[in-house]
Amino acid sequence: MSWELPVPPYPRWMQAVLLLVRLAMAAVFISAAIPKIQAPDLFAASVHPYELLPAWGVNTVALVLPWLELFIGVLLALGVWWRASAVWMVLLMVVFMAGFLSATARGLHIACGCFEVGENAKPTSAWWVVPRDVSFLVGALIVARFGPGLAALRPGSSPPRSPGTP
Amino acid sequence: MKPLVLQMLVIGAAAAAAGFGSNAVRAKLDLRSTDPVLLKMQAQNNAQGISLDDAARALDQATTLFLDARAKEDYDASHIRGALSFPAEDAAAAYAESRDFLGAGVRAIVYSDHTLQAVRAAEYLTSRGHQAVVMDGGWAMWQEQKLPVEGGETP
Repeated sequence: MSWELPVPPYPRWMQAVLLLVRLAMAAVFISAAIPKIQAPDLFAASVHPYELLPAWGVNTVALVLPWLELFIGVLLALGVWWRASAVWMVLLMVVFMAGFLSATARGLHIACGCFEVGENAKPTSAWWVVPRDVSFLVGALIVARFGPGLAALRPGSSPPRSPGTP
Repeated sequence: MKPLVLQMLVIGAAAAAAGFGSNAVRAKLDLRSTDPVLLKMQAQNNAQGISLDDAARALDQATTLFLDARAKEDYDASHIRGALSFPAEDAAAAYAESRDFLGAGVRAIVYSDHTLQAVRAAEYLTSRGHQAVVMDGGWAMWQEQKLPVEGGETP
């Protein structure tokens, strides 16, 4: 079974743009993961106020999610398993936005817990969080759809040409 | 299974292993924690916590003393079996009354309706050289779990 995923041969300028997008998305997730990995207890304290999960669910999220973000970020940076990482990122951004919008709709004025935890985490406005997360979502979608661009360790193979393709 | 799905599952499994594995080594988060305020206080070293289960197991131990940091009226209405009243609002007077029970080797388990109240009472004790921990879940969860209580009018 091949673990390589097909990527069309895009022009070099587009590959350069894809590299920048991929590295930017990697930086987002790595920078989001590090403070949470350092203080999962404080991250759990940031997840509790969403009032969406039971305590055991909050603690599980607090332990696993930061590492998931870190692995996704590192894999995106390296250009290895980039499509799986980008799809993970898309899913997470959808969940993050749904969670924050749900909290806002319930009148909760809470810190999003996205990049900062503990004393540094201040209540965040949905007007800021949602557009920002949408931009990350679009970035992840671009990588998932168009490929890793230049300098990927595992860029993927070209797709087999189907009959009739010019 | 498609490679994409397989890769995603591997990434998810690796994150779960790293998360639970690192916590097993570092013990940063008690999986039974339920109180975000107490979690913050513990992280900032302002308080030490104890899970409700561990507190319940320590209930009848001679080296454990439960202290109720709520107002005296609330304590009189009902409290954890064997607990002493230790209102955080009047910690100095409460300390004078309960000091004889806080000998060497005795650990106080402080609880309240409000985490910060319990943390304040525990801080008062630790600053005087006593061992004091704050019970996760507080009085509300103790009652919810139908753990032993006393006081108030018997129906």
